[in-house]
Amino acid sequence: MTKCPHCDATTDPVAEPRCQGCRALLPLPAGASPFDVLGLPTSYALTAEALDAAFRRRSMAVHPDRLARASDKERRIAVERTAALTEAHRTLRDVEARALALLRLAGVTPDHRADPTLLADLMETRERAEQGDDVRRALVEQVGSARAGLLTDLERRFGELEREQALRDAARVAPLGALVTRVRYLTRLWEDLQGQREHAVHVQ
Amino acid sequence: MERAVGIDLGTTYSLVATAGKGAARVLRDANGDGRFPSAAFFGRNGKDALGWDALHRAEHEDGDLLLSIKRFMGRGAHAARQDPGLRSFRLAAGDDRMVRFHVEGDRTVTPIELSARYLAALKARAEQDLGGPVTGAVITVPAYFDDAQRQATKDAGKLAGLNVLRLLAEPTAAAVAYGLDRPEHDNGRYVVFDLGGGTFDVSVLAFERGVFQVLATSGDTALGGDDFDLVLARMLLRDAGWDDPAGLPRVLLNQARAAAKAAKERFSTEERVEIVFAPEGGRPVRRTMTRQEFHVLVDPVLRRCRAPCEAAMRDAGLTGADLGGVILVGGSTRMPVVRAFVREFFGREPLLDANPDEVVAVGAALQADLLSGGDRDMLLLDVTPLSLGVETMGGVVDKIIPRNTSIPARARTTFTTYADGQTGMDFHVVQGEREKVEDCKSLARFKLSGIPPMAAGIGRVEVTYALDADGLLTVTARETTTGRTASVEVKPSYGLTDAEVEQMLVDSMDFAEQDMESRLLIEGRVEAQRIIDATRKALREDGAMLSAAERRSVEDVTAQLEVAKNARDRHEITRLIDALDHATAEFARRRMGASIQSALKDHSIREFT
Ligand SMILES: [Zn+2]
Repeated sequence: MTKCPHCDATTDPVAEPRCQGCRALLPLPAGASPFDVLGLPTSYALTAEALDAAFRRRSMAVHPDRLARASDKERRIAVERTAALTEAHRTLRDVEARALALLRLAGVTPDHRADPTLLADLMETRERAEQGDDVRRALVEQVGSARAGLLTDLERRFGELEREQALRDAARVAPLGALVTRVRYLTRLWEDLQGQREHAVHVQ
Repeated sequence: MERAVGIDLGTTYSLVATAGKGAARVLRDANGDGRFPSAAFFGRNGKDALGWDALHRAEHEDGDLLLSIKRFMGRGAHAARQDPGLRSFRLAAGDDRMVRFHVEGDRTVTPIELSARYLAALKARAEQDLGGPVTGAVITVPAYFDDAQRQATKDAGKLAGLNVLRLLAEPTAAAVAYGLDRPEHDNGRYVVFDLGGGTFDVSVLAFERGVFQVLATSGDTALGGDDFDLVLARMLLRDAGWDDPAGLPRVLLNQARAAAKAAKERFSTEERVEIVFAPEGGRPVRRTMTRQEFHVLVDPVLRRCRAPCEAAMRDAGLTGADLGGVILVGGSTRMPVVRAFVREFFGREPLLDANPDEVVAVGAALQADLLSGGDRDMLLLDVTPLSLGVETMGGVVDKIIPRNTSIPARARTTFTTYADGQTGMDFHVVQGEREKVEDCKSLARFKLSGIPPMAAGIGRVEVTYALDADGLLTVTARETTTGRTASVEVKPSYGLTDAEVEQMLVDSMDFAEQDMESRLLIEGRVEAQRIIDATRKALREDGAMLSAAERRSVEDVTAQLEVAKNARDRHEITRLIDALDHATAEFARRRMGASIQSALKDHSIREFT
């Protein structure tokens, strides 16, 4: 709850971007999470459609193009909120960035270094990909499904924490850090393997 | 009264539309045609022409006909030398930053100046129609235009004396014009397939309750109807005995292009077309071509549409089955061969109920009205078509804002110093999708200095990329470690400085006597309309202050001015404005007297005088 900078009414700028008293646009509170910015519940399980719909709905309320006749002060707030909105939408649209945002909310900083076994695995896969197109195509499949499996795992575990209202419990969220790091390494590998295929098509 | 307009600055044709209180409408010329050819002719006899006039004169007179110059907006001389078109223009010694054409009268013009002249002509059309100065304009650009091309368009707007409210992507404008009119399409995902005269865009959008969100966009800024004309024109020239069009007289090239264009347009409605091309000094050509033969001839051009369509659908994460429809925009989508491609690629019949020539201008007008405070339940959420990045070690690009990010957007990244005691850091800002810097377009280079000396890896510099609602970039760098900040802000450097725009304004005044004459005429008309309106208002309100004879004399002069306003003699307009001033002088004096007694009347008198 904060005071409206336009009329001093008590407001909740996360739940309702406009002041109930004077209808003017309210600034985001300091430390608003990407979920707050979009007006969505803190959750890992968000579909692309739900995120896009929230993005459109919020944009209609906060975008400066809708406030051509508003005061300079209100328009400045609109510009700030819209920039934050775009950033939040982009963050949550990406499953990895969304997972990192949840870790950050719980105060968990994941270790970005891969453990030695994972590193050895990645290097071996990259070497095998050099053997030829057929091998590489098979590896794209293999890495892709390994990654999908990890994402399902991540969704299940975040879901459990959410049901138990433990998403902000650092001790319980911390073990997910390693899982997120693993997903990120696999994604990078997967993209690189596909990138080579795209390149080969261009050369033909 | 708001007089904001939307302008579709097209490769072949340009249009202007307005959306006041009611529905949007395209503003038309005396023949009822909304299209203004984006063409300029510089004749031997020293007179210049724009629009339809330019096209007509070029077929009979020797001179420089400049067409499709949108292809060169924001491009260096290099791009023009590589242009595949029939080179009927003469390149002047330009620089890397800007193409320059040599024209009759020993002058040079740039694409920006030419675009500014088309924009000024459309502005004049709007001012005449709306009876007052245009207060702001939304100008459309191909969605796939890069930063340089957008900046060039904005500069042209400034040069034309327009207050540019926004640069808007053409397919987005089209989607708004189409979707707002058809609530049955609400809550779906649509593709806009926009093949214009010289540019191709494909955008995927979601519409929901007035919000038009672009999900992904792709395109080719050097692909359009012109390329179809070229293939056909080259064939005609070959048939006439010229295998290589280089060095042929310009009149001949213009004739071949005109014949090709006419034939192409006839294939939209006819199965067989007889093409006649009888150039001076060549073999006369008369051949019948079937639509099928034409399709085979232009297939290589059409195939270039495929990769952008695939990219946009992939980036949006959709397949043809997820779509509510495909909207066709741009005159080139009238070609059956193009429609067949759309049907085959997206697996559905395209929607044919939009006017492909006019939807872009109408959408721009709606956005112009919204941005000038009009009460419209709509919002456009556009994206950047190309990724923006920074060069890192080894010439590799680190993407900071990926393509298809909603704009306005802001993104930050942090760099650390790599040498002990390093006090400066060089940055290279690039745009494009490729990994290597040399394959992307360079936007700007800058150096951040004043970093306090520290051990390698300790100094931190935060770089922020901010894309505004026009899709134009600003980059800022800040040293953050010590709390002292050194910062620098760059705008990509190929745009015009304000001083250059001013110089161009001065130059264009020198060489546009004809422009001046038509501007004075328009100003005269606008002034005439203002006085006529004010007089009629005064007569309505205070007509009782005049005798019947006095009233008749005021009405007579008003009627004469009305007639003169619609003719072309500006001296006559000026004379009648003076006459009406004279005829109403006594009336104004009496109204003034009355107003002293009644302060309430103050308002209308101030309007009258
Ligand atoms: Zn308030």
